[in-house]
Amino acid sequence: MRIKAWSWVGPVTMVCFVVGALLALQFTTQRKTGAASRYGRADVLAQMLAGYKAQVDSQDAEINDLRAKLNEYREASTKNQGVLALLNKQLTQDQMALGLTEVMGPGMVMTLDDSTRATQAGEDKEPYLVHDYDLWPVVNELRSAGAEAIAINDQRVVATTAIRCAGSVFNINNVPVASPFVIKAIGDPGALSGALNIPGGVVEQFRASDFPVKVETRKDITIKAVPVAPSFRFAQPVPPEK
Amino acid sequence: MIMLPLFALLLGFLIVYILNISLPVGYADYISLIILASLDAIAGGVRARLEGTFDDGIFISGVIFNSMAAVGLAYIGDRMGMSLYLAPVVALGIRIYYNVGRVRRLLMGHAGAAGASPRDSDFERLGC
Repeated sequence: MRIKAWSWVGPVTMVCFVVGALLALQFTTQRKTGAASRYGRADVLAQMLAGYKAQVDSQDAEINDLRAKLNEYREASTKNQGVLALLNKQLTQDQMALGLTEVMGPGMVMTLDDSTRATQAGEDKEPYLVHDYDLWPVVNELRSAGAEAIAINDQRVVATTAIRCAGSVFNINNVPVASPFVIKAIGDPGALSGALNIPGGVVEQFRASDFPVKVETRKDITIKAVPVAPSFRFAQPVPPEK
Repeated sequence: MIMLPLFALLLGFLIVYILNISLPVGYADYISLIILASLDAIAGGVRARLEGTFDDGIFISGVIFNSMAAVGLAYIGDRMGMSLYLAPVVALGIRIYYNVGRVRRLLMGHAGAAGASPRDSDFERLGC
């Protein structure tokens, strides 16, 4: 009977060993996956972001440098030459229209931030954030009121510019920007601010949902050039008919 | 001799922990179920030993079949998009409590006493 009394120890020990091993396996798995989701990814992304930022900064500097040089050459080559001076003037006009030069003039500055309205626990926060579709009408109104240059958070809005949600930020000219937004426009200050402030207009709609919004007219606004000139891969000019 | 299972538990834990073995997260639920089924079997085994009805065949087959049934149910649940893994979790959880309670009362020498806990027949009707 003695042997039978202890016969349970063997199997139970075996199972205990397996359970211990499985528990350790589970702990290790949880620890590794938890750690990976907590630090790993964010760290790597932050490093990549810093790297790309440095790259973009250096390329921006290079672009400005090259544009300044180009202007110098143009001025030097066209001094006192009638036709070339005229062409040069035309070129400057075209560049302004394309947003390839930094421009200054009177206009207005609009600041806009996410809504201050407190959301209930579990309530959807989306309606109280500034979305891409909130900025489209602003740009539209400004253009319609004769804005000659528009920039959102220093990103020039030109003919090829898209304003598009990309996760928690926007991409404007493929550069991420986030709230608060500073929208600058050069044009007739009264017309621009009036277009935004009309009853039932964009400003009133923002105010109705407690978005902090402010429109100020300014005498002197500077708007930067687009970071990269649009390139044409598909479109080409139609030759004039003779 | 009674310490042997505990040492085995610790030894198994340490070996795998030090070797730093891990599995893809997808298997975590299944491993948990196997652990739960084994814990249930151990509790049941100890109870059976104290009641004098321990049988190694039943014990080992219980571990293997309960684990397989739990994992199988969970797997089918995953395929069907239904949280079927909860079924073994609840069933095994209740059994572990039941077995641990029995062990406690057997150790205290009140095996037959009707206490605050449900009667055995209640669990037998549940299929435990």
